[in-house]
Amino acid sequence: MKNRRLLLLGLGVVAVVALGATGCFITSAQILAHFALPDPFTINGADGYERVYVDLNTVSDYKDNKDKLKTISDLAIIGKFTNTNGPGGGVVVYITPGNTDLTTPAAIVAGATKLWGPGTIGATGSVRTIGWNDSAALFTAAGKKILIQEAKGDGEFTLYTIGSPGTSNVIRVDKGFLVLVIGAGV
Amino acid sequence: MRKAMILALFALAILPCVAGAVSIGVGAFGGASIPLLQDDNGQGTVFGLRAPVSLIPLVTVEPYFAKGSGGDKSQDIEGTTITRSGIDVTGFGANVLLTFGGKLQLYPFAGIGSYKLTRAGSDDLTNTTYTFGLGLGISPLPKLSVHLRGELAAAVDGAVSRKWANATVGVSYNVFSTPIP
Repeated sequence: MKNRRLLLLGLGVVAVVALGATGCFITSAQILAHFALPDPFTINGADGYERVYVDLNTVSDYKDNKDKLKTISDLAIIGKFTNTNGPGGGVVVYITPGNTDLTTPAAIVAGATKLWGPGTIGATGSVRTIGWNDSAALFTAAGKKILIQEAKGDGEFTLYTIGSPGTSNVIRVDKGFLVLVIGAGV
Repeated sequence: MRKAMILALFALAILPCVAGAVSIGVGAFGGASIPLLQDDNGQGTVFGLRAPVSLIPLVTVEPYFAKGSGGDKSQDIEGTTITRSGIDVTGFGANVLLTFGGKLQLYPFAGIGSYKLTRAGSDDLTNTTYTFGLGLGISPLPKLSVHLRGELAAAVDGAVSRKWANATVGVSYNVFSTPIP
């Protein structure tokens, strides 16, 4: 009888500790949000980069959950990449907090943080559709950290896409999206 | 704290051995695993092994090992369909069951464990996981019992968690028992 009481007490302690230690975890969710990149946008070897200012506050799924946002559970940059002219190469995405205006690839590499890439593509005529799985693996820890900070902050940051240094090609990106899975309370 | 809790549960399992009233079983289970409130993870399966240790009437402590495979999840974004691989889970822990009845038992249970979450393109995560649920046990033959369970499993990562509703069927066989003193 004594053992039974002890065990029932143990079970109660487990339940209370579990709930107390985890707060409101039961009422959290993973919510998909996306930001549409300009469609299409082109990374031209002639000027070397493309700038995209992102204000997540324009995304309803983000705006609705911003005050409950705890983390970003998953990330992706997806789209259909087409090399319209030139040799094969790669595309790399950099990020800066806030609304910035870096004007050369060198300034971007020096002043921004690598977020994603490289997404590689073949020579003229090559098409590569980068999906959710492929893309998620291309994020860097440092860039992801900045993106999470900005998502938890004011939701504003700037993305820069640059091609392979020294490679003169033109890569068009159709239906490009930044995909976020928000870990939030509900 | 997670390790301490698991150790405490195992200690509870061992305690009655000293007192001399024990039955020990082995079992297997499998079923469906349905992600709850997860836009990036699809329905999958879960299966595993467990070892129910009946301590005294009403109470069973049950260490378990579980392995789950998440299904792919597709989402439509402005006309573009994107698909993410499901999250696979490998975990272990222990549940405490409060069993009522004889050959037909209805029991609530709760437990704690450690789940490793893996998925293509993401870093592996190891989270403390809490389980709660309700089970129905039927014993058609001596030493053999069939169990139907509904369970909520929550793998906690900071202030959020990934949750699954698991519906499983299992079989347990009592391999050792001593009379209750």
